[in-house]
Amino acid sequence: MRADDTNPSDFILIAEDIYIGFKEGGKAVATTPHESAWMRLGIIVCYLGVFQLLMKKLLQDENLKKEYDELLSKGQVFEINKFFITNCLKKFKYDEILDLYELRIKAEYKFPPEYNVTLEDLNKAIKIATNLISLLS
Amino acid sequence: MKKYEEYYSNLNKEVINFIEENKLEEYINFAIDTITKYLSLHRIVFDLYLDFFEDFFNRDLRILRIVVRCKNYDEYSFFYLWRSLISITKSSIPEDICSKIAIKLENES
Repeated sequence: MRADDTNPSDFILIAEDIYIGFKEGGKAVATTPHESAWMRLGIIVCYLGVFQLLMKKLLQDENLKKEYDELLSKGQVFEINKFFITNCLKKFKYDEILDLYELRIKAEYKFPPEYNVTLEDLNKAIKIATNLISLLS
Repeated sequence: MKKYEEYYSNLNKEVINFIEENKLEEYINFAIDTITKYLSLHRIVFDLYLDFFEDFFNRDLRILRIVVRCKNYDEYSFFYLWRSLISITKSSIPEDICSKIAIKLENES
């Protein structure tokens, strides 16, 4: 099996393809009647790309790596969100991550009719993710 | 009078408690001052208010947000402005405080 050498920007490209599909009419979007499923997916992959890149950077710090491994071994998965967010604010001062996190929660856990995901949400997620990734590149 | 109280006469008690418990007065005042001066200098019309970010999975994680709502701001430079506000404000705030305060930019059109 090939090693996973996925680049964080690959995720953003997926989200951009979905966005362009909506704007210009693309094959991917045309294959399903459920447009919001694509938009939700696009937002989630934006978060995933940023999460992977920033987490990799954070874990270069040995103390943080130890803390992270401990959370994983104890199965405290939800604490990892806290670990990730607070350290992004502390180490990188990436306040935009809070908005991206909220969009991801909306896309992943909050369902219609109360919460509809819009194309503006997807657009915002792509812009935040692209900006954050470009700052570290 | 504390600067943040000047801005928000009807501030939520929870926000005041959070600021006082975490000893954030000095930093909130500094952040509000810096943001206000910067935006006024660039003649950007805006409103400021304070609210919380709460983690969906863990309500213990609360971050005080300074929300800057710009009026009809050019969308092209929106993210550039957001980054500038964070950089000028947070470069003078200690690391541990940076994880308790966040700046959010909104565009009201």
